[in-house]
Amino acid sequence: MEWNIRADRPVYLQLLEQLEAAVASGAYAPGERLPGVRELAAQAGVNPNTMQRALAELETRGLVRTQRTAGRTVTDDAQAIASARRALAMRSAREFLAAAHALGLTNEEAAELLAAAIREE
Amino acid sequence: MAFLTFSNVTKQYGTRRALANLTCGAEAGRITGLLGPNGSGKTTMLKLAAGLLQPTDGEVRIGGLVPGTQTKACTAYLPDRVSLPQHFRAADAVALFRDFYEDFDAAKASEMLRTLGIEPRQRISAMSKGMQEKTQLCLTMARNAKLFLLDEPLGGVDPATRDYILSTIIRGYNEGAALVISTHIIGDVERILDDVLFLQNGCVTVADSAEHLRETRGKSVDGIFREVFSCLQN
Amino acid sequence: MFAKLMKWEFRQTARVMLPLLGAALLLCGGGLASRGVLYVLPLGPQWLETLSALLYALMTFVLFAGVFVAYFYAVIRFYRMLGNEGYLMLTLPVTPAQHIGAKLITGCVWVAAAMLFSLLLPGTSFSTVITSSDEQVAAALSEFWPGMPLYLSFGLFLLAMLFLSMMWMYFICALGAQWPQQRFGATVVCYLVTSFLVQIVFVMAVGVFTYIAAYSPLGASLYNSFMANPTGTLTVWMLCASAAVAALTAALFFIVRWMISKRLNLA
Repeated sequence: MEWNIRADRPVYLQLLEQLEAAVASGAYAPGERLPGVRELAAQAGVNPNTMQRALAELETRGLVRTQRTAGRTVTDDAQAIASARRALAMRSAREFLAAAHALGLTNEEAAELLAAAIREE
Repeated sequence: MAFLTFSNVTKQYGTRRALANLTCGAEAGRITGLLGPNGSGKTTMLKLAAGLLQPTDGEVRIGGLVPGTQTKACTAYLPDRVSLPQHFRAADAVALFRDFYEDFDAAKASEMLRTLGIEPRQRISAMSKGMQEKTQLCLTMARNAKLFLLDEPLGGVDPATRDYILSTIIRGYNEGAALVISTHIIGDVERILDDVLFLQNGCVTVADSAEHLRETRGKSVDGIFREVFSCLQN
Repeated sequence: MFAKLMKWEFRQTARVMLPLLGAALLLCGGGLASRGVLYVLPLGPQWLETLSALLYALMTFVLFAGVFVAYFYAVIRFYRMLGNEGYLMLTLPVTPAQHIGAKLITGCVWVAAAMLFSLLLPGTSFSTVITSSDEQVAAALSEFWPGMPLYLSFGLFLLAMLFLSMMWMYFICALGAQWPQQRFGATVVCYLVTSFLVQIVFVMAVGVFTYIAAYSPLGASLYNSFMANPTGTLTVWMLCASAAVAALTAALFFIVRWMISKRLNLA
């Protein structure tokens, strides 16, 4: 798990984004036990209280579960993970579109660029 | 009620006023950054809290008590210099802390030192300055204190050591404790801070949570700091 | 807490003092052994006698050094506590009074121990017990016995003076620490200036005392009581002097305690 926390945006938001991405991409496998709050905070180089907030929000969104004996684990619910993945990808898509618009491209031109990028792969 | 409070504290050294009618606090369970340029009074504030100085006016209180032997028993102070006697061995330092501080976790300290590669029989004088500072840090963080006062813990160290120190602080500190870090190099430290206090000419000019500052001003704390302090210089 | 502090002070100072005193004991043992052998073999070789004398000379030197080292190491330790070490020591949950007391007691105990060793170890000038017969020892004791109160009170006075001089050095260290940036220089200057002032005060006091003794009724009555019972009077004077010295030491203690609690700014 590679963390990339910048200081010029609220840390809480970045933690949330990157944790979601980790769960969505499978970097944290479904059912995998997460390290403790302090350990995660130390790895990310952030304040434990902020990490706690992010993890609590993640729990509210159903991506992690707290169990009495095992601590926090990633959810087993494949659907929840899949919808999180879609939501994140959707956000990237919106960002791409916004960047294209900022460069003065129309929606059709943006779609053509995306197809071209896929063909390149 | 903050655990560590400064109430209208003034500290005068002869003609020089280091702190002027300063009021602020550090909450329990939160990491507070004391940020300011060199000479702004950060070390003076920490020394007052540690009981090494007396205020010229005003009051410092730790858990409601004035700094004294009772507060020293629950305060872990890391000064900005090496204060371990040079003829001590690492094991002697551990023994000293164990004898005088009830909240000291000797096993944790020994473990941390071993991870650093410091032998118990090694003399302080035989260690490099960086090693000496890390030894001090380990001893301080191995305490289950209610208040941690860290004076410039990242001063003049390489990035790898910096990461080590920051992760030691995060992993080591007692959850219900108030932790105060003073620094003038904000960029490295700001991500671990809950609250920040800007210190200018002996007064606190900004007192807020780091996240709130980022949300409202759209900048890093470091960026805000540069803004605030460059105004003075212009 | 005070007991713990005393334990630490002793441990730290013992690592310097025990080797010294131990060396003196060894040398004494060596000297004795050589002599013992001599006495068993009345026609012992010449070199054993020389060896014995040499060992005793070395022992005297070591004991002499021991007294000096005990004294100056104690002062150095106090001086260091007001430097970088102070950041560690003065943030321990221990009161300044306990710090000063522990260092004072430990320092003086070692100096006194070194002095006692000098007095009592065979081969030093005061002790001839090993070579004397039982009758000689008994005769010597009965000669010394009547003067015991005087010797004891004199010993007490010396002990009080030891504490005073140690406390005085601590006072000078605390005074020098008022200039944290130039602490060493300031301490040396304080030492020189205060020594000078104390000498002046002492000379004036001697003058006043002589005047009182020679010209006043009080002086006359003191003289009479001295003539009537020299040993007894001297004993009383020694005890009074000891009390005065103890009071001075206590006053300095409180001053140094105040300076460390309220007037200290570590560099």
